[in-house]
Amino acid sequence: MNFPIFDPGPMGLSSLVAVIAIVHVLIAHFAVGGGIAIPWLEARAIRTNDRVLGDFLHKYSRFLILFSFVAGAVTGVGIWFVIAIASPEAITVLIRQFVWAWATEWVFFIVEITSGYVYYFYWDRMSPKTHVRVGIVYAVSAWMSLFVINGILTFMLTPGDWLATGSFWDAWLNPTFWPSLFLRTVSALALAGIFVAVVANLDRSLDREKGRHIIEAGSVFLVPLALMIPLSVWYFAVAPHKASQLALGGAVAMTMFFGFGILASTLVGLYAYFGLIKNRRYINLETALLLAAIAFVATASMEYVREGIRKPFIIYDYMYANGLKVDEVDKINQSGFFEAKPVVAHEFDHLAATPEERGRVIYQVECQRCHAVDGYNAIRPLIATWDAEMIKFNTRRLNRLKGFMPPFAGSESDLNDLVAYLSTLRTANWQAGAAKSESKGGGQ
Amino acid sequence: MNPNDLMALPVPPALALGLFGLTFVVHMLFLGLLVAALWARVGAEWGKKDLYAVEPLHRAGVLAFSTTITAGVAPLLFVQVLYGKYFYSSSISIGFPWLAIVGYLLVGFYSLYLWRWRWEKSGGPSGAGKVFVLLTILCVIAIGFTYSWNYLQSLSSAPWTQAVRHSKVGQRLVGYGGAAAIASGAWVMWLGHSWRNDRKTPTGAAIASIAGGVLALGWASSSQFAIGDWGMAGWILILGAGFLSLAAGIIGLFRRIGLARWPAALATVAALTGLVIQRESYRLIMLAGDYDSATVAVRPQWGAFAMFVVVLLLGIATLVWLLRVVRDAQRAMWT
Repeated sequence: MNFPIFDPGPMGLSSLVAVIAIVHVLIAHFAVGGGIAIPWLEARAIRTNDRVLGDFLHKYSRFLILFSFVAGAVTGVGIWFVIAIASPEAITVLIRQFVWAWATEWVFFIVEITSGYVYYFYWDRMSPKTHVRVGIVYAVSAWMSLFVINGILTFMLTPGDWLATGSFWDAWLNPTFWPSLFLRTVSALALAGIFVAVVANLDRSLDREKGRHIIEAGSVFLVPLALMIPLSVWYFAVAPHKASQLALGGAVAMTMFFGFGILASTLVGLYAYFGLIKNRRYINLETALLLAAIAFVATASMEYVREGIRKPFIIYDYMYANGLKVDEVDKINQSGFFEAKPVVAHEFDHLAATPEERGRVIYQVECQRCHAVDGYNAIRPLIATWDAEMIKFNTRRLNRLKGFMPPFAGSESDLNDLVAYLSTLRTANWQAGAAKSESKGGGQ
Repeated sequence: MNPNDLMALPVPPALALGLFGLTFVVHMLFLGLLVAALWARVGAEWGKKDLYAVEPLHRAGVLAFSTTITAGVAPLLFVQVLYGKYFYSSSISIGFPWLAIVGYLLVGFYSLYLWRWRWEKSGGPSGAGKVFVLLTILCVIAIGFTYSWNYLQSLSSAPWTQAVRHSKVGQRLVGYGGAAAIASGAWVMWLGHSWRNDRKTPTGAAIASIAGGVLALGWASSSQFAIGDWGMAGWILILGAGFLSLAAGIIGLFRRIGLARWPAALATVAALTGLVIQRESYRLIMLAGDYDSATVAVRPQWGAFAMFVVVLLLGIATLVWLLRVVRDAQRAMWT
């Protein structure tokens, strides 16, 4: 199945996906964690007759609804929109394998938002017991949404036995399902705990002592962060060896992001236990926002690592990041790119086209998903100092030179076409650079 | 495992089509509620200051926007299952305007909340309130326009080769808007009938609500004539159902009959079902020759389907419980 190609310009397709996906993950995790935290804390407030905590939770639930029900729901739909444009081949596979998982998640989501609205809009208008029950319905449905979606996300890294059986259950309950679920739950709870501190500081009706009391109540949700290291060990133990290697030193950027994510999470967890719970320290607004920023960056880093270690695949061992299936590459190598992979972006007559024009189409199909010409992960600076021979040498051995790159798919003639096109970028770059130096020299 | 089997449909096309139609009707019903809430806000901002129903309308508006998006996810899912090839190609062909829907949704949704805060702060209509109402309406129209554009763009075996005229999209939007207006009329009428029967609401407010619903239904049902080549059978169904609900509404204007709202509601559902059937029939006619559901490879996932059905039943039971909780809470408020 072939699709037309969308070129978002310097922004790049992968950054477009990353921005919406990371924003959504953060909000969705907060929705899950907040959903668990609120009824838990409300039950505690009722049990201890804690009116301060009870009143605060009403405001907190408004924040949760405004933040997660609006931006969370919308960016969730947004992910589908952007992935459909960026990687239609992959989303076709995911939709066909997981239509019932998504449909199941949809039911949980409906229950989640309905119970969330009932919880907020009918505050103090039903018995406390019933109100907590509504909160529990919200918590369970929110976490079950995560449960379902987690299986789809982890499938992309560890499709496991699905590659042999094609079974839905093998795909969904794949090897990284459980460690990922626990990691995400811990992260969700932590975000909820941090936002208790943020909202408590924004609530002007609370004096310092009341604020301290609420922050302490919320800080219990940060403590599980201390489990991030053992959970990560579990995750990488069941992830493909090659993928784990990328995070554990194989790729500098991923190792750094992974290290930051783990370290920041563990430190926040230890700070919560020793600082907030044991020594009853107070967090002011600035510190709470700083903690929120650290938690956001840590979550975003871990998402980046999760996406990154999958490379060169988008569905491990089945489909490369550029949408070419693993078993498709040999066919393309044998028969040639344009014979095996008809491009439907435009009415393109490859026989009448120049090598550069053909190369541009090959670039759009095989490279553009990850590399903009200029801008995000740009191709031009990568090849700026390479001559045509070097471009050809490297492209032919792409997957062997860099383990996270997919192989070039095409005949010798296709490779020459791609090199011809890439050479025009390099030449343009050199010309631009030369003109710049010339004008500088002229000015002097 | 044959890799090609992995790309087979996980559900028989007829079942997917049925679920698509069902969930699309539900989506349209909630869209109707949203349109009704927006009309009421227009009335609140530009009409009488002491609008009776600002608070319930605010809740209805927020809930409707949320449920419209959520209910819209299911048909979006089944469209991808059934017509992924066309849907993705048309989305890519549209490009950034298609992605802009995310922005429209965010602005439209937050404007709903901002309107309420502005209303409370100023104690009634205000310039900012009017801006927020207009923003939401414009965003809803922009979303409808973009969806209509994608739908028309996808009615081809090669969506990237055709340039759909915006005037044609506009024409389609009138039909889509008409369907939403039919549902909105039914909701407004339902609310009016409820008020007419609870004996607590001023009769004037109830009558005004029923009359508003009647007007919306009448206009929307008639407007379906204007939208062009959508098939006579569908017209008859839509108009028949539309005018049946209209008649029920008119009776409700003069008589306090609790049951009057049911035929109106059922007729509205029938009208929307007719529109959806018509819409899909048109799609299949346009794709004939390239898409044939009889020849599509199918490898049903009945185990996963059973999981969905069980969760759906549990979900419905939970929603019923939540609605009962809300009803009890409202009764407690009144007493």
